[in-house]
Amino acid sequence: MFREYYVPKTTGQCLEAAKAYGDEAYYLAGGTDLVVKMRSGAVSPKAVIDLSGVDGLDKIIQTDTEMLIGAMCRLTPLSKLAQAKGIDVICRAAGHVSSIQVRNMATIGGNTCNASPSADTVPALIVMDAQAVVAGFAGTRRIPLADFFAGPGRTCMEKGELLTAFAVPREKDITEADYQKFSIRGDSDIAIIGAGARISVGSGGVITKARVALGAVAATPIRAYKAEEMLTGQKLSEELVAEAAKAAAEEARPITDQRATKQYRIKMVRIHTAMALKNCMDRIAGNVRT
Amino acid sequence: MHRDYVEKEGSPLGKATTRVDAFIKATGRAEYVEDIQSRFHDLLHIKVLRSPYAHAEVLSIDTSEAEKLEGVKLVLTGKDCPRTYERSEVFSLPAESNATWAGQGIAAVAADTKETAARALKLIKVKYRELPFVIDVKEAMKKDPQAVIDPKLGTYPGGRQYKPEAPNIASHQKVRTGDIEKGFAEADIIVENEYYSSRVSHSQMERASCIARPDPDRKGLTMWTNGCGVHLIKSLICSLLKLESSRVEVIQQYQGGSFGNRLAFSVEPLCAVMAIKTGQPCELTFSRQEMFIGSPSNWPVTVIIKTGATKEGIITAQQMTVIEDCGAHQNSVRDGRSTASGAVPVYRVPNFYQDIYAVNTNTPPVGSMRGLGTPQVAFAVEQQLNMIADKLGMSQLELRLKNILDKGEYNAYGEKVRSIGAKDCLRAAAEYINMDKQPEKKADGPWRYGRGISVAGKQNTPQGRSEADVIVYSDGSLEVRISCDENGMGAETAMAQIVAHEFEVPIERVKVTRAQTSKTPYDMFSSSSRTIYTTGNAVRIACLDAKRQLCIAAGEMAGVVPDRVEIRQGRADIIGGTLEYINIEDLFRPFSMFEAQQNRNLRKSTPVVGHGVFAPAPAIKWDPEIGHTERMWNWYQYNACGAEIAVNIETGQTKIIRFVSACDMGFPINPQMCEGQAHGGLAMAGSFSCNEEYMYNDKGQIINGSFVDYRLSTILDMPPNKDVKCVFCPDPLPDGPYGAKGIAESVTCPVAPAIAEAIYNAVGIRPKTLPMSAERILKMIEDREGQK
Amino acid sequence: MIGPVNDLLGKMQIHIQVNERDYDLLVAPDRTLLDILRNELHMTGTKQGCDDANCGACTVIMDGKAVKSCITLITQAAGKSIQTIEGLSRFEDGKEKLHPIQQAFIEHGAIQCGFCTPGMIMASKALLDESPDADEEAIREGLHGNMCRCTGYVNIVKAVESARDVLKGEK
Repeated sequence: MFREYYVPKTTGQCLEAAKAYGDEAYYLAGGTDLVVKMRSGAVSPKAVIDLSGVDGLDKIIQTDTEMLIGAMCRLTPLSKLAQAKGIDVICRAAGHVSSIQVRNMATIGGNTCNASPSADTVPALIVMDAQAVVAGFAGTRRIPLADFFAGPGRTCMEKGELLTAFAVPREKDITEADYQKFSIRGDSDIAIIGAGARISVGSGGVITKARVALGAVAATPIRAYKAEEMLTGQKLSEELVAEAAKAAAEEARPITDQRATKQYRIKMVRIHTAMALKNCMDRIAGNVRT
Repeated sequence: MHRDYVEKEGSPLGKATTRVDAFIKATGRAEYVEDIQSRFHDLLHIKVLRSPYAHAEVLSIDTSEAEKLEGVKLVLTGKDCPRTYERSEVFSLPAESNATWAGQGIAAVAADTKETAARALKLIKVKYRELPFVIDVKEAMKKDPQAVIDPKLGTYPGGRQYKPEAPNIASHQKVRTGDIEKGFAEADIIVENEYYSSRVSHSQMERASCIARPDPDRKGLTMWTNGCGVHLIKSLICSLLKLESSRVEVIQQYQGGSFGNRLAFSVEPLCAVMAIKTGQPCELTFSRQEMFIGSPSNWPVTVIIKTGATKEGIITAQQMTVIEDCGAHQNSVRDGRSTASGAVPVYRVPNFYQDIYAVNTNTPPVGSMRGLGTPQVAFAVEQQLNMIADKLGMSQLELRLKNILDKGEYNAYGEKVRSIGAKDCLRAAAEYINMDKQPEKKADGPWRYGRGISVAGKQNTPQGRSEADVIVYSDGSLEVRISCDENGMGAETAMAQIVAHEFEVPIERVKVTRAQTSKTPYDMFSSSSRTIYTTGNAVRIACLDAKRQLCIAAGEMAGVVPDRVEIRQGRADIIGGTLEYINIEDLFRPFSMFEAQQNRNLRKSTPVVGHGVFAPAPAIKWDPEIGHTERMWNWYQYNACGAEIAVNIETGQTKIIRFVSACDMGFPINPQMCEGQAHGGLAMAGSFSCNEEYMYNDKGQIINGSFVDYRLSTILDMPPNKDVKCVFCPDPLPDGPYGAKGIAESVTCPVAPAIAEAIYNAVGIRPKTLPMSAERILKMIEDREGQK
Repeated sequence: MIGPVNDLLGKMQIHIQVNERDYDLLVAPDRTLLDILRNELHMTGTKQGCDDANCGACTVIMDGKAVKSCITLITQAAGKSIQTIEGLSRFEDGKEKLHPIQQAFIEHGAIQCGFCTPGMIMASKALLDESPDADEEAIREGLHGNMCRCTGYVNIVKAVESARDVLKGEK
């Protein structure tokens, strides 16, 4: 499957090792996707760089302005932090990735860097305005997650760059978010669509910030900007939720594949965006529903 | 319940005896084929190159680069393969000429590692000429269709002649009972519909796997396999490789499920050919994807059906066209009759016409699967009745009960009904699902609730002889040697129970020896839910034979005639003599140099061997014009299903809320295992009904051939345990062992129609296509809303 | 500049503990834990049923967590403690004493073809080790990464519930 194996201790060592191989090196996070791909021959790297030995990549750090989620945070422990204010939706989404065995190994960085359009944690990260913290030889840079993907299986990172964490800004306004995974056989299935929503409200219940992010409806996870615009500056209501969900469905550009047809996906976006928004609304009103 | 044979105190029959193989399986020590590969230090690994085209002429195959790769021992193409032209070979041996489905083997490599073999496949250069192909069965039946084979070839594999006007119709059979015109004239209500059920996969957990080793001692070949029917595999390998019977040994390892998939020998022929050609042990294990594209699935069935009934709810006529899509190769038993037989076991239909077609398409060849096509036909027949009941305003239960056959009557094929538990099953299912009441909640958010019941039967094919040896050792312990398959259904345990019952000893004293051609006697294979019936009968007869020998010996010792001796509880009980009993071990005398040693007395260390043979009574050839015979099938097992289903009107998803299976298996030799069959059948058929189907792209390739996208049910798809119920309503079979028939298949037959009916009761649509997937259900709901 | 941890021949020294026994391996790092367990250590109780980590037959416990060994590189298991089906029972007083989960699978008819059984039992063990009070819903959530085509899962759930009660009683 590959010839050389690196276990670096620092980010710098990761970058060095990756540089030597260019396209032919892969970073290994949890391996739950990469090993399947290597076994099937879909990818055959020369070198694999195991990130599990790098210090500090699996920490969650809270600062005054943001939460930093280390890229090597595994999904099971993350999913148990569903009470963590500000990243709760990300943690809940982490709990919807496949089965317990997979979540025990898989990491949030890996779930993102696969760049699968249906990755469950990504819409949740996007709605929380998460930025990917990316280390390279020129230092670190931050990429808003909504701009992080270039296509199925492709990110905007340069060769050898390494995703080290997600920075999730802390919101002053009352903020609630939700992620709805729609699949046929529960979490073991890959999402037919995923819908993330986030609502921040200021004084008088006016929406100060709205985010709607969709998975599995385009070549990359996308934001439904029109739906967001429609919500911003308004007060939450059932009618508004329905309108915004309809707008989100219009923004979806899915394909037909073995999991669902294009038309079905579009309909499911409307239904599940509405559910996600409704859950945000209920939580804001104090009626928690999951 | 039938208890005639069971009243004996301490008998394990009818009791939840622990499986004889449970311990070894629970500790991970049960050896499946792949587990023994490390015994062979020079093992070669086989990989198969498969056609990406649904239909193509193979112009040339250049294997030279692959052959040069270090570690490659042999590259085999179709022209180098011996052939017997048995259908089973098509899954295994590389194609002889053209590729007729996407996934057919074109060449194979044997190499010293799996990786090398895989790399070698990439170095084989095949030049194809793409040919027109046909995936849709109705397209294939049209007047001027694309042919599944290249017309240039002239004959289909198997020898059928190419007929330009209908090249793909492999078989057309007719059934003509009564007068169909008259029947419909008598009807007050006629319903006419078309139903379709998709191609689904057995997806047993262990993939097909085999090891073949040239055996210098045997001057032939030894094979270890998870295939079914070791003696059949052996005879196929012998004729393929022109080896004498004594030169081939086939050993069955533990089998990780089958459901019919292993009745086609997907791996054995190629593995054997490679081993003989390389002189080294070879293994071939399919990937999961190969299980989808290179091993059999069930066959999709189209049923066009018209049913008539009087306003009293009496069925007067049923006319149907049954079309079986048998994939790229016709199978000798795949003539559609087994599928069509799904329409006859339950109901009295005086005027009954069937036209049964088996049609070829450029898709993977099909194979036997749990139900053998009958669940697909039950899906149609049962829904027809529901529609009639609705129109008449009659309860579905009442309508069915009016029309269900009674024992002694003749069914629409002219067969006399000898055992039928259909009415009891149906009543039980209706009762446990509370069919006469509405669900407690009718709606909850987007979810709507409904209930449905259905009943169906599955024939048993009267082929397949079984033999058994029962060995009584001189210490009184017992061994039973059988060649039936243990796919997981518990056959070995049931056979041990029968022996323990017959000898009245604890089951712990019975050892079961599994299939191995040189040790265990002939058995065809475990199919058609027949194992208890054929092998069970053979074991019982073998017990009687062994006991008879013991009785003779004991009679001689005690000076009474043999029929004054009874063997029970490790003793020979003497009736009417001075001796009350002789212990079994005392019947075997020790050797002494002062005694003649060749006489008839039983001797220590020389066990008594009882042999049993059982074969069902022969079928009687039917009249080809009207399809009638007094005995086409052997017997029918029955099952009713009750289901409460929730339907999401926004997404079209369905959820099983409650599930009932009421089973007529004749007699439950092991109720716990029967229950296991019922649970498993419900889950499997529930999954077929709602989620499973093969999907193709426009090149005719299967695009969901993996456990990622082929939606096999998981533990989340079954309702909570308290809401799964299993009831037994056995009607004993006169010639079944202790009245037993079979159970495995019939459980699946009524599931789809029960779910369909529940969906109808929940949201008012009648799905006519399987699977009733979320997308299909939503589309139907929307279409209906659109019409309003 | 750091170098690869494997040597020129591509192999690498790995220490793992399997069922409380230590193993020092010299193996290529691109092999999976499943492959090493089955083909180097000859522990064939752990099974492979699919191509892409969906069936769960390969489930083992690594440092207390259930993982799919078919997508775990042997390097990822380095220095860790692995439990497989072979290590569950104990031999005491001349008799094999099964783990309560194994015993419950046998008693409740949770085993048919047996191919999913080792993975199912290991996933159940990880679940009950972590959540000794797991209810039916939690059991289903913990086991949906393990497929079974024979049993319909009914008796499997029954067995895990029964084992849970036995294990609680033992504490």
